[in-house]
Amino acid sequence: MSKPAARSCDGRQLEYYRSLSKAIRLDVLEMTYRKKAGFIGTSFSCADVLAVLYGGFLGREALHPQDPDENTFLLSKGHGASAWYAALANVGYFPRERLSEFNTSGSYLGVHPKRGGLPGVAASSGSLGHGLGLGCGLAQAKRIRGGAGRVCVLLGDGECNEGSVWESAMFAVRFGLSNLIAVVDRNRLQSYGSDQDVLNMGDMAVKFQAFGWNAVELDGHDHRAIHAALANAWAEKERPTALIANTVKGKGCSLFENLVLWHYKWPEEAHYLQARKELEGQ
Amino acid sequence: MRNAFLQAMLEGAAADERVSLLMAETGFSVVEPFQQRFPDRFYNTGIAEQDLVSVAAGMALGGLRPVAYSMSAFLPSRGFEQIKIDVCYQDLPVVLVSTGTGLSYGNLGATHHAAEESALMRALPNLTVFFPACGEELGEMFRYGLKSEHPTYISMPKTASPKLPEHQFVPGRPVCYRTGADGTIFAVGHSAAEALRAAEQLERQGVHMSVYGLHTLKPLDAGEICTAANTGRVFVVEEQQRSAGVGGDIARILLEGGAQLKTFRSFAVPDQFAGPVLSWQEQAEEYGLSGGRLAQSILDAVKGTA
Ligand SMILES: Cc1ncc(C[n+]2csc(CCOP(=O)(O)OP(=O)(O)O)c2C)c(N)n1
Repeated sequence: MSKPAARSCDGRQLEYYRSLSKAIRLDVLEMTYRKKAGFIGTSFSCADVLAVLYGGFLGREALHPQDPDENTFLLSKGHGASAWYAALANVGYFPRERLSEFNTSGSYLGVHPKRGGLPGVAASSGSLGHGLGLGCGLAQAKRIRGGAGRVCVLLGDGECNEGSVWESAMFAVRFGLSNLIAVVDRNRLQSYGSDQDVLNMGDMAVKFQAFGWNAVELDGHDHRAIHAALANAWAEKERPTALIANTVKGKGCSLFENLVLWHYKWPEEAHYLQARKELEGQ
Repeated sequence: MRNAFLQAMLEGAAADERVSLLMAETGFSVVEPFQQRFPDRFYNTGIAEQDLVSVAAGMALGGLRPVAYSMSAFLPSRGFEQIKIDVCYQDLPVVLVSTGTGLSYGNLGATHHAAEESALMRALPNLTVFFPACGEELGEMFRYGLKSEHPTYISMPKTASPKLPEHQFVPGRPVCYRTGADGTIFAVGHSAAEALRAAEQLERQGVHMSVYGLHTLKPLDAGEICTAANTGRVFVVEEQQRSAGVGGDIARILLEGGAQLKTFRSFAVPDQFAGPVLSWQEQAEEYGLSGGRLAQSILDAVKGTA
């Protein structure tokens, strides 16, 4: 699994990515609507990144973080768990029916992911600013043990307000963790306001570059661009890679897009029906 | 309760122009009226709890009266050293306010629970630690904090403010909700509502309980605790890890005071993280902290020591 994927993807692959994105969003919609739980804005925002990552790079084999040759994914912005569960289910980590256990008493499909709760959930998260440090340690462990596995960490752009993210960014460069890939879901909305009104993170690629990373910006809803950027990151030999994925929070349904309210809100019936219609037409 | 916080915040800022509100990306659909009314006294430090605390301490150094607001799961633990050194060591008048005390974030899981905050905050010199039982208490604590020359920590539940019997808030003083000769319940913060439910149920079963609300966890009122424990049966209820809560402190106070007890029980969160998904009510039930479970445990203990 660690061999780099082809740099570009063909039409069939693109079609697969599109269908995965759609399936992830539809499943997230069901989970948040039926279980009145979870965070739909952040989950829709990262659906396309997850579709390409799982559909083209991780497959069904990112299961054992302790295997140095295996690739591992970490969801640092743990509130996007519904999208992660949906991605895992749709590429076959567990039966899709299990998604109905989301936020159900007694189940391990929590609003935030819990390590070992589900196949493919390699680490717990929910408190922001931990994933990149975990990723550094894990990437280092794989290297020390002579493996070729990559570690890919998905962060929120607001999450990058946390100083701990930048402590990890320094470590990753100091130890030349070329097997570490950080994807920043750059949707420019947080949970109270917009990035611009809060701390204004500015040009995040430049920030990561200043820390010594290989950092590029891309359209985080363009499957072809995501594929190409991940393929380059997979081939990187010297530095850790940061992919600043420009996205729209709530992407996929016009009702949810670009509104802080939909960080929190759960769809009611009318929202649900319209979202279904819009998603099914995609 | 968050509404009581907003009201107290608005009043505090109107009365004293040194008061400002800092928050770390928390308070959506709560603090907006403050931001609108006092735009130049409102600061969002971003998702950065450590910086939230340091900046607030710096403002206090500069003569202001900052209030730093975040979530109970993140403020005391992520910002711990900043609270310890910047705020408490320097004994600065910062009011730290958090939402989501104990397990009150329920189904959001262990990352959002704050079942150790009592230990963290009580371990710090100079800090007064309040856990309100209701919105009215929260408002009073807040006013107290803004007037104090020392730091204050207030942690409120995510749950709605319960309807409690009318009572007066005196900082440091346990609230006596009811008296009975068969035993004494000390209920911390929002556990008062469940303790009162348990006492009402026990009353119907012929067991008469005293119920005291502990809203001030530091300093603890040793004298009042010893007096209230004269029923000889003491029960402490709190939504904190058993080793993190005040149960052990109360036992020590009673031992040091020479209290003669037939029973002492601490009802608290067991030594474990939340496992599978459970709502707040389900957790309270599972850990024996709901009114019904408390009543049963107390009934057994009273019968066993009749
Ligand atoms: C340490 C910490 N502080 C605060 C929170 C509360 N919180 C949850 S999501 C969120 C906003 C996240 O924004 P961003 O990282 O931009 O992710 P998005 O939802 O936009 O994808 C906040 C503040 C948290 N989970 N962890």
